[in-house]
Amino acid sequence: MPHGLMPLLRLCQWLQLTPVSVAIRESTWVFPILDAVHCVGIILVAGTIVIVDLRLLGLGMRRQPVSSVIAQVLPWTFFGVAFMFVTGSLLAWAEPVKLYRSPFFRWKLLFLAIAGLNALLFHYTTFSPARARVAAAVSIVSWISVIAAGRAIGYELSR
Amino acid sequence: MDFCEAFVWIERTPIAEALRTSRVLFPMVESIHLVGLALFAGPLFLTNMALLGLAMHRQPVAEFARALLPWTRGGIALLLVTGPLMFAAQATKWYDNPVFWFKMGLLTLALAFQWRVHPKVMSEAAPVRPLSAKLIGGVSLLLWISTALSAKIMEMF
Repeated sequence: MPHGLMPLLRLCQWLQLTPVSVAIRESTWVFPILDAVHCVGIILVAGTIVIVDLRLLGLGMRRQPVSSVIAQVLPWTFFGVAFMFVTGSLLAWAEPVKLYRSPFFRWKLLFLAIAGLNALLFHYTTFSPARARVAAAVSIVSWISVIAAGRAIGYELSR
Repeated sequence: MDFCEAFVWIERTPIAEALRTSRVLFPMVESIHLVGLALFAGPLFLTNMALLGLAMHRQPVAEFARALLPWTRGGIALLLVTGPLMFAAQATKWYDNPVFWFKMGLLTLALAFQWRVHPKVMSEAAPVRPLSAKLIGGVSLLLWISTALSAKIMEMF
């Protein structure tokens, strides 16, 4: 592979040699602790957003208007996103070259992007109830996929 | 058959062997475990934060806790099916792991609390006192967070 054509790979190789990357990779406890907090973060994000999704689908919290459910639940989703994003970035920083070569990591990023764009689109445009249900279903499927792809990365890399 | 032999027997069952030999089965079961955890932990986390007075102020806690009950129960069901499957795949390894036993102890406590004490907050007829509500929410949060973290720690031993 000619080097000049792979700027992303070269960026990953450079990142992997930075002191932070080496430190996380070589420490006994930092990586597993980051991994644990990352898991808790994803569980919090998926576990709270699913409440909004179920409400949109008419399958839970029907006594409360959608706007009220969103207003109460979403701040906690963002709380989880902060944990997920910070720990996820540090974990990726620790082994960027492995992740560059991991197909499941690309799937995970793709599903994260779908989940994020779906949420943004829902937030900033007007949705009919039918389209809101589609958005809720897309959200549920993409978060399940993020979780599954994340697990797959672990097994893929340990082989 | 003593205790350890039982673990060896579990590990030799066809299901356990299939989970060990297949490349995709175990990660799939683990993913379902995490999806179950999200379904269960999301509403539970918010219920407990509501009991502590930190979230979900627009409706009574009892209403919120009950509104998602079928889903949290579904989440627990997924956890209780996939957890033992993952255990079975490596039963003898877990037998020798002290953190595994610690986690099982915590899990038993957490489940007992969830089953016997936590439902009190769902009663609209006899609402719990504010102080009891805070106590129940705090204890439940602590029990479940410790259970989840010990699950992560036991993988490292």
